[in-house]
Amino acid sequence: MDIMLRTENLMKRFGGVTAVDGVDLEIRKGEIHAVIGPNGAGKSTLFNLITNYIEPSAGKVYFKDEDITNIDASAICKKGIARSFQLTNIYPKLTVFESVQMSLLSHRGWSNNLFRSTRSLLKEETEAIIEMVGLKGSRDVMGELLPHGDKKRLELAITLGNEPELLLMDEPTAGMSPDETWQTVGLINQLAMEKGLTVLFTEHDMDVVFDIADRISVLYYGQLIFKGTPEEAQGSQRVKECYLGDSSC
Amino acid sequence: MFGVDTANIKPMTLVVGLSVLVVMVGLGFVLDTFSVQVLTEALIMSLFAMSFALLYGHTGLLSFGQGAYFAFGAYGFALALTKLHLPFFLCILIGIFAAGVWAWIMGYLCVRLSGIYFAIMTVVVSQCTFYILFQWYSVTGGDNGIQGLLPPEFLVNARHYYLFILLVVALASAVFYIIVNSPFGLSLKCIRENIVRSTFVGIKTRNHMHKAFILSGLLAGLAGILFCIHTRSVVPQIANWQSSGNAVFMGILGGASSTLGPFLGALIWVLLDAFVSGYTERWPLVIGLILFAITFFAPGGLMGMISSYFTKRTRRRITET
Repeated sequence: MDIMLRTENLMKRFGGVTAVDGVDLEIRKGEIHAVIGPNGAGKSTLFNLITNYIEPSAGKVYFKDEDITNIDASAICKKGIARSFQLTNIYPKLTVFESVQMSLLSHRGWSNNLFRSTRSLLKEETEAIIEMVGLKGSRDVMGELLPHGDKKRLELAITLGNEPELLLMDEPTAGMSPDETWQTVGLINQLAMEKGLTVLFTEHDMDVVFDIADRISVLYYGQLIFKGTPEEAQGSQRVKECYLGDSSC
Repeated sequence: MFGVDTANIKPMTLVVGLSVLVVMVGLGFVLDTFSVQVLTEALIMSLFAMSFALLYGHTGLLSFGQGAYFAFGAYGFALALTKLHLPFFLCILIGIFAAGVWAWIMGYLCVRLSGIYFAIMTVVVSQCTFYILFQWYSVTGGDNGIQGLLPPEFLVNARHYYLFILLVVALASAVFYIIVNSPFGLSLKCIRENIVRSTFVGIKTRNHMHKAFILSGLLAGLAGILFCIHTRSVVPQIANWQSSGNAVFMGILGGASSTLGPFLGALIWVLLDAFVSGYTERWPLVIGLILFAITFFAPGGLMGMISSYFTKRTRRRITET
């Protein structure tokens, strides 16, 4: 089984708090992998460590057996890891088209070109991605004017523009209506199948997790307490105690 | 990579640009000498405003230190001309190169800071440049500056110099337009809008900001050179924070994010300088009041105001039909 992403004893301390405590994560090629855990379990911090948005206190991150622990965040993206954020992170005053086009331009090595006009550069590819996420009608609308669900979709489109092999999504359905949530779930499934994407995501909605995840990792106070399939997770006493059994989490 | 695909420049922009150019050439022949000189200065200042606009309007970096590169260009040119006695056009290239090198070094330091710290650093650089030029008597002539910067004979006539400036500014604006509409230009807008997101789509943000800083320095340097030929002299005051503030004023007044904004801002500023200063010596107060009104009522500058009027009108028309 090919391992796409592996973390080794990954750790992050913020003063006296250990937010991520010796996590050994393993993401297989082509799977949809969910990281779940109660609030403050360290899910977002784990994502930030993998993409080097924050530096780990200890431990290593390997992407396809290559050590990427301390390389620049923009270089990690070039290697094929794209991410979205928990709080939607888009370009407020750029149109949908421009936003997605930039990712493609950057990925294909155009971003330093001073003399080509962007008007028609990679137009078909950009429009294909916009259509795929269902924003075709909003092609020339500024990001900030989109409704919340569409902003999330735009961010997904921006990450897809990087043509990643591994997609990290921090709460992709947060704040969405049930309809939008299931559309997004369908989209993630479709992407994983059609493009052979490996997806790592965090999610609060357990219905979503059990619907699309191939495997689950459970974080609890920074520690990885469970790895396995959704069925195994439901059967695990430890997971129930820490998380699933307690509906207030 | 250097192939400019002209087919993709909006035909409308090309038509408007060429018509403006034709009108401007015509003005050079019909206006009186004083007005021609005012227009010359407006054109030169529009390059200075453009250098600010590239950083602020396009990249989101508030530079209060454009005077440093304006002065470095001017002094580089003036020293090459008066001390080394090199050919005129070679001196212009040397001036631009000097401004570029200074922007490369100072930009390296500045882009490591963000927000207000970036702005303060640019002022510091501008003031340091001023004091170097002001106190290094043996080379720069201190507060006397350098006089007698005469262009070649065929440019001495004010109308001829005007046409020369018009040509240079037209070429520089065309390059500016191409750059802000290139993939690099788009990456600058992305950095302006959201630097974190830009990093995570693989843009080397600091590197791109540094390049924008150098390009802006080159433009400011070119403006400085043309300005000192226009006035036949160079003084250290063109490096200080007030001179830098002029670039900020022109950029904000016209609209730093739009292509035409710097031209409009520079034109208004030079006209105020030329005509209001005849009525009252307190003309900077007028400028202050205008800036006050702009920041309150039209944060996008005059061009921003115009374009938002058109967007609203189109939207109204769409909803009516």
